[in-house]
Amino acid sequence: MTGGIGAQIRPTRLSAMPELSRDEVRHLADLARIDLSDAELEHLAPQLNVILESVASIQGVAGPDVPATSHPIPMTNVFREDVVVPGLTPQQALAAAPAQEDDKFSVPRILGDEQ
Amino acid sequence: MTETLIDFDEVLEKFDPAMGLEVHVELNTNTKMFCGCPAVFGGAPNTNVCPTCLGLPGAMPAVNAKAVESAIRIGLALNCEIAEWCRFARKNYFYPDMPKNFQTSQYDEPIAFEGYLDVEVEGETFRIEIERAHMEEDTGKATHVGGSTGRIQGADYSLIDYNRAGIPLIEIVTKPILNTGAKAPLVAKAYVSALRDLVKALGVSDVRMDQGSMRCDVNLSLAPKGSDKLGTRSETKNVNSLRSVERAVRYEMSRHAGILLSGGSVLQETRHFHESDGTTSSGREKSDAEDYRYFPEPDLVPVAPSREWVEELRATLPEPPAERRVRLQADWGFTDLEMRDAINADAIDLIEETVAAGAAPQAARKWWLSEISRRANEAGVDLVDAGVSPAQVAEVQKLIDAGTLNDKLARQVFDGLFAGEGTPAEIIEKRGLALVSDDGPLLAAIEDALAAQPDIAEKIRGGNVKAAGAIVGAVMKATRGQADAARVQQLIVERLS
Repeated sequence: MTGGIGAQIRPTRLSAMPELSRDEVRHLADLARIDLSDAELEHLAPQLNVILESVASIQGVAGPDVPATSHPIPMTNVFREDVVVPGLTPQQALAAAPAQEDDKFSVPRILGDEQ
Repeated sequence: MTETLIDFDEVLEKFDPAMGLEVHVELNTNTKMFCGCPAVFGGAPNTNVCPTCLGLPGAMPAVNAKAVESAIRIGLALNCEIAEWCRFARKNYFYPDMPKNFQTSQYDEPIAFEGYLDVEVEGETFRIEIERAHMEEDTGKATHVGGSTGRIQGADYSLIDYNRAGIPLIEIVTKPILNTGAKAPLVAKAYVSALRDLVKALGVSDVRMDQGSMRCDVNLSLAPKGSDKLGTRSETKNVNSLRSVERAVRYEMSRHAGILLSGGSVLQETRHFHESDGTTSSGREKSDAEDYRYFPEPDLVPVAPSREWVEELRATLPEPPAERRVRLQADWGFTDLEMRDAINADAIDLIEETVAAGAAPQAARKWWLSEISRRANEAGVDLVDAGVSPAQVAEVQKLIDAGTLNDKLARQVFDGLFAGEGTPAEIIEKRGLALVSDDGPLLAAIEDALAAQPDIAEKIRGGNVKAAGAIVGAVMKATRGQADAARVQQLIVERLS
């Protein structure tokens, strides 16, 4: 492995964008924790395909001589000194929380597992 | 579910283990990875937070230079290449321990890669190859409320403290560790121990496994003996002591073998290790939860450490632990076997600190490897957590050297230290343990013993000095062990000559 743009997260440049299947859309919905009915999947899959086609047209303009980029400005090493900066009080941090308890954010029961 | 466990020797007859170890090291920087909040966990909830680590709209992260420096130094100490150019990536998942709905990590462009760490187990050296060491941020702490167990299952809701969210972490991942056979559990332990020593020597982390500043995940799989194919692996989390690393590997080997020998197949899943009984239990199955949709973090620019900076940092590396051990063995005059035992017991630092506090190396070794090791084993804790400090051991040894204690009394002082009764001096005072240093009571006890055993007295008078042992024994009994045996012997000979 060397420094440089990694193959796996380089935006893939495809000449023709394959159509998203209904199963793929369902998978995406699952990942986003959105519960979609079959009817909604039927409705949304073509819409997502339209978005993908639009992106594909941009990719068509960029030829192989244009490197993929993740940042618009070619700069590196923007660092911050390891110096403490005052942050928020717990009250400020929790001000917009829908629910709280003991200065902690209260969230609905978590299904699944810790990462 | 009851697991069928196969005896360890039988596992080795039929299978070859393969391990992969993932270690997270929490850096001891002043501030978090991407914001200026104090990198301190454990205070009042949500006191070390800001818009960036809370993932509030519009907040912009900025990379902590010191964390990058620490990451590079860890990479160099592990003989890694340092990337000339690398980026951060978003690891997307829905779990409220990260308020952003992603963790900022590195994906396929780690800051350090392709290294190794040599570890020694019972005189054999194993080269553990390092796949990568990358930078990321720690997550918040969730407390599950309701239900019967305080765990996720059955909880009514969860409370989140984001103080830990954003603390810099370095994740160090090995390549598959093969050909370790029966030593697999010990190799795993030795690797984590060596890694801990290395990071500690660098001074970039507290590396306290009990406090979570160093955490280990153990991947394990079995392949039929002689096969070069890797089996399906399990990933055991929560392995939070060196002893647990060894136990987790051993348990998973026996469990996998039980499944495979009954014709089943191992599920690729996360397992949770249980410190109490050394078992693991099923966590989540690895499936689409693994689909993290990594992509480059657009809010951060790439990190491109100059070669000059890397070389400057290389010059700051401390003495490698392996070389340090060679030096210490020479300084202490330990035999190879003594040194190996001390390493296996994870007692090197403790002995070094005890010697620094004034004890002779052999005396320090003796206490840590016998009395204190025994108690740590009984309590099921690592030696460092046994409950006595190097300074206390040195103090006890000083009292022995001064003739205030003998070994037997010293063991009683350790009883007091483990029971938290105070300093060695306080325990001696409270328990009345000091040796009888005044000859008066000793002479009286000698007279009594001689009178009780006139035949022995006759033998001693006749020149049989060995016979004095019986009188010494009687005096020790009479003084409840609080006499200096050598002094008693001397007094007997003087009395009868």
